[in-house]
Amino acid sequence: MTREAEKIILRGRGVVGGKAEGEALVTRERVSCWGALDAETGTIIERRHELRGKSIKGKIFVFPSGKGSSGWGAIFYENYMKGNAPLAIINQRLDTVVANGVIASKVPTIIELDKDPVRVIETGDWVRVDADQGIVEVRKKKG
Amino acid sequence: MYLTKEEEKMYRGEYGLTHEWAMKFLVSYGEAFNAERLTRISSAGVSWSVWTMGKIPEEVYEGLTRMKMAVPTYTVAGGMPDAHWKEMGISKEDWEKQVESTKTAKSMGFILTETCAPYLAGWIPIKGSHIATVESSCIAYFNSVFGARTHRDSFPSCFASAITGRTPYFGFHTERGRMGNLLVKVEAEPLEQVDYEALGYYVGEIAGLDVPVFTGIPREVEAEHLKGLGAALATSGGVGLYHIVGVTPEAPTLKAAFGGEKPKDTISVGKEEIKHGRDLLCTGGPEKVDFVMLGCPHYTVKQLARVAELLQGKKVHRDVTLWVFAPSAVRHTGDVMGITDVIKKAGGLVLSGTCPCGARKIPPNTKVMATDAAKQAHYATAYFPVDMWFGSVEECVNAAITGQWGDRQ
Repeated sequence: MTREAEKIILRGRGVVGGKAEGEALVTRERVSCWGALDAETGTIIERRHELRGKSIKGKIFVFPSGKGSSGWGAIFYENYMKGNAPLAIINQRLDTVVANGVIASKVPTIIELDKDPVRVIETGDWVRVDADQGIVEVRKKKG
Repeated sequence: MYLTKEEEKMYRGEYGLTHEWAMKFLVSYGEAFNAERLTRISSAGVSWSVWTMGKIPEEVYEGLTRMKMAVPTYTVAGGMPDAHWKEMGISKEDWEKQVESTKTAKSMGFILTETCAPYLAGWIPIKGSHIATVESSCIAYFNSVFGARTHRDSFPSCFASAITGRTPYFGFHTERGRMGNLLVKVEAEPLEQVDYEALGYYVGEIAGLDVPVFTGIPREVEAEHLKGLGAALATSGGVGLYHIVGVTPEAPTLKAAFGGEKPKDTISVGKEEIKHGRDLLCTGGPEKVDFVMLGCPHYTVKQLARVAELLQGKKVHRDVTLWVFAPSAVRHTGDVMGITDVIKKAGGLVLSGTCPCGARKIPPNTKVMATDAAKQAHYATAYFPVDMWFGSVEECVNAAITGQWGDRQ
């Protein structure tokens, strides 16, 4: 019962279907891929980004929206081809360049949630994504 | 999504696998934004170089390279120069692959503008025309300065659009999607090129995906200023369209720019904010400069001529490499005018087709780089382990001559 009480549900719109479950990587800063993501390792390399040095591989990647170069789709796809894709993406607002990347890579993606995901979800939380139903289930990390 | 009979045939595979892949991609793309239909486009822009191969599913790539695009299709800057591969440190093997890749591009009928500023090389989409292109700085220029209509397209939607001659109808393609929603009051005259770059970098971070509407930018603003402003807005932010009241074609008045609605936010930008934008781009490292990069987005003839003027009778410092990037069409004009020769005689090099970040190449042993472009300054510190100075073209050429940032020649 206490476990149930810890659970937070967010509802949004799935734009690429599928289900995924894993640890969240969250940033309140927008995300670029070209000139910002090393596709060889899935690591953020943008100099002033708060996630610099962190890998998006195997994470439920939560950020407000895309930004920057239109190379977004190409680099995200290359990163996916090299086995470094995140498990799912949660964005409050969908950038067209991000749409290109997630559709091509078939990474489950949910947008426009009823609560701001970058404020509700924190890095390390356990997140279950059902992009077919548009449901995000968050279990807060302990302590 | 509603599809016409022809679009449905493409979707069902009656035009072959490549059209089917393209149409299915465009439908998914459109549905992600609740688009109800597609619209025809008059031209498309794609990035094409040896690196494009391998990013397109193999079965699609085969068909793609044997077909003609549905609309005139221009190439933006790719990951390779048009020549000067040795000077850029590109391997012979990669260069030979690029030569093959260019042959393929020619056979497909691509118009090889090969620049991030294809409007300087003959791609001129007129106001209100629907197009589909990549290159964030070019997208901002086409939407804002020309009044043409394109999404912030990316890979692979640019290819899907070139193949089918269609793009999903939503966002910047619609009247409503083009209305401003963020008011930016600029109170910082006079504004030089370097100020427009820093202004764009400062505002982009705040604007994100919004459509900023600027006031306080004088009617005399130049094409080069807007090239830099848009590139910077699309670097720190995801701006694909902006308006300048009294300047750009969809903003004759403040009211028109906002479509009669109230802005959801207003910000003021003065000298201090512009200086902040500039400071964000510098890493504050050593003042001894190894590499000076100019021409991001690719230079106009006027910008190239200014560099030649600054270098006239001078020499680039022996410890410094100077690379100036311009579309090959502009470089040719520079050859005719003798200005590329002046730059060459001073020890600099005029290059085309790519840029350091595009090719992932800087001169060996570069520790400190300087540039007059907000976009290049931002991305180069991610791709290369360098310290960065960002400043005016005058400061940059001065550094190329003296080998020191901020040292007067």
